[in-house]
Amino acid sequence: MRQADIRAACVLIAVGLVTIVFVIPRQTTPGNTFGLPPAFMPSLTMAIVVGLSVLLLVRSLAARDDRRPAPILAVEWWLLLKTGSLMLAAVVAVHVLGLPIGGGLGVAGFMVYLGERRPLPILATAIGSAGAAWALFVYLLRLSL
Amino acid sequence: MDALLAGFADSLTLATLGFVSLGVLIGYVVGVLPGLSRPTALAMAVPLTFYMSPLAGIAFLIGISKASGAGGAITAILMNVPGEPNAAATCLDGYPLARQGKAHKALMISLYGSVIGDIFGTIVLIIVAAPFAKIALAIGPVELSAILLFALTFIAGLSGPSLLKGLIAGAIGLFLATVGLDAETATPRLTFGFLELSDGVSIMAITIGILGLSEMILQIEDRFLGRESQVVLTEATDRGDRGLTWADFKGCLRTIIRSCCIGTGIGLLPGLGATVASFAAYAAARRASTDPDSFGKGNLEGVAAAETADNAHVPASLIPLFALGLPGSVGAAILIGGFMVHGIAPGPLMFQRHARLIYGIYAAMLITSLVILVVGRIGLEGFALLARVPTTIINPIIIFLCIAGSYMEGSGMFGVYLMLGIAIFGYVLRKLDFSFVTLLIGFLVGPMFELSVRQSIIISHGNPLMLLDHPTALTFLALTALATWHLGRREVAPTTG
Repeated sequence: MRQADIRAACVLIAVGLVTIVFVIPRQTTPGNTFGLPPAFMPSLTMAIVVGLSVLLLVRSLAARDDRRPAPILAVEWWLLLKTGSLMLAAVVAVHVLGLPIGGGLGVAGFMVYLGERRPLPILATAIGSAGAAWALFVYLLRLSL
Repeated sequence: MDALLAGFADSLTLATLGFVSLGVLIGYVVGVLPGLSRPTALAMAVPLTFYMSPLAGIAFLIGISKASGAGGAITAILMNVPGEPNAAATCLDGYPLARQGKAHKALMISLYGSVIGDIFGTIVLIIVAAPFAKIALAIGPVELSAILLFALTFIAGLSGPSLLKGLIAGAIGLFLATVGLDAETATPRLTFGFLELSDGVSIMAITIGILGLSEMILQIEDRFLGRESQVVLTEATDRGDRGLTWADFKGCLRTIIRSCCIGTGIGLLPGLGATVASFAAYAAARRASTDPDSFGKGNLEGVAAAETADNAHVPASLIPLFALGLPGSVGAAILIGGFMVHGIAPGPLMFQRHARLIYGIYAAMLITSLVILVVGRIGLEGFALLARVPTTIINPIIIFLCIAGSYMEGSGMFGVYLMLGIAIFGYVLRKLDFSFVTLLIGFLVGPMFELSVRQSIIISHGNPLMLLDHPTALTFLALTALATWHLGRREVAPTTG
């Protein structure tokens, strides 16, 4: 965890400084002559993040190695990539085909991904989810999906 | 006295009782569905009240508002997805209890806690609404800034293993809350040209992404890596673990009473939401417990604390609205619309001009609590059936609900993509022990914190010595320093194996 804390602190310091120096000035307006500029609170909060991250870095460097495994193992990164990709695919399906159909396909896809092989539960759950989405959002709430 | 009796009689008419029950049913559904939040449902329901009498309309809206709090606990416990952002604290112990086969026990204590908190808050509302006007006037932006700072520090220290990481997460939450139109100049801020970000980062994208979808990623990971031999929610074999026993309830009673006070107290302060109340009550319960390490692993008191405070907050947040015309929460702000539809302006004069209506509302609120108990008690069995569904079925449905919920929130597919990105960010945060709870709270109180800090700086002309004129703010700042020192002591010691 010590190594992970050092890396996390470095990333936070770098992201924080880039945000304060480059992002916030470009993404905010100067504001009025009275009151505080719009950049005030984003800059303040990001400065706090940077300051606390420096403290975290110092504390982690001073600490002894705790010999605990890395908080995210290589296999977990790989699983995150796979699961995240499937989630993205489900979201794209919803985007292209609409919530009822895209969502139904997403449900079926995730069931197969998680190891479900019985066609009846897959079909029933996917169609049930799609039907419920249609009934609630389209029929009852009159939303366009 | 005539107005009191007439008001109570009005609330007992068939029409009012019917609309209260309808509101409670809708509220439960809203609470159970992640993404369909209390404010959204209230906003959609306000136009409907135009066709009702003022009392029936307000009672209907209050029914939705109160029951959604109770309903939010059901998905929080059974699925680890807060149906309402306020139910986020319930997930922390509710879901672990469900995984131990004690879902029914957790659901029952959440229901009883909700109803007790609700009745307590309503009684306090009835007693103090009028006299509270004088006290609430003393809470200015300086005091509010100090209170919020204290709340964030307190939660950062208690919601995770590291105060330092908790504070970083809280600051990130505050930063995320600054995205959107600047309140003072009405110019875009950190929107990167996306029109969808003009209203800020979607609350549901943050809550569903960090709490719901990132949990699904973790569960799927556990499943593939064989860490969970039994991830199906099953009923406990021990009969005593299945239902709520008198001993369980008695064990939680002190926590419930304490949480009633915390929820009501936070509800009294304009602006501090039910989420703050539930997390503060949770933190207090953990702190008062003889076994604080069991919190987060399935402690019944954790569920009782969060739900009681959440529901005590709802009626209490109406106190500033009734007494001063100031909404104490988003839900209370939308209720103003319900009053305005009928030509009634909430505020101190309401007690003189519409006394009968006020007493009718008080009675309807008490009736609502009882209806919540009945509907919750009957419906609980149906909802508890979800515990028997395997994760290969339930997890895809939860992922689908997360997508639908963030879509519903208003920003369409943009909100869904944002929620997905936030879920992956939330996964990394959780793995690295950064308190996602503090991030969430920081994000939710961010706009209020910014407004109060800016107002404080402007009215003081940037002179910190003006704090000497605000003893309440000074007290809370001193408490913040004390909390930082006390909670941060463990940070000083280097981590050892």
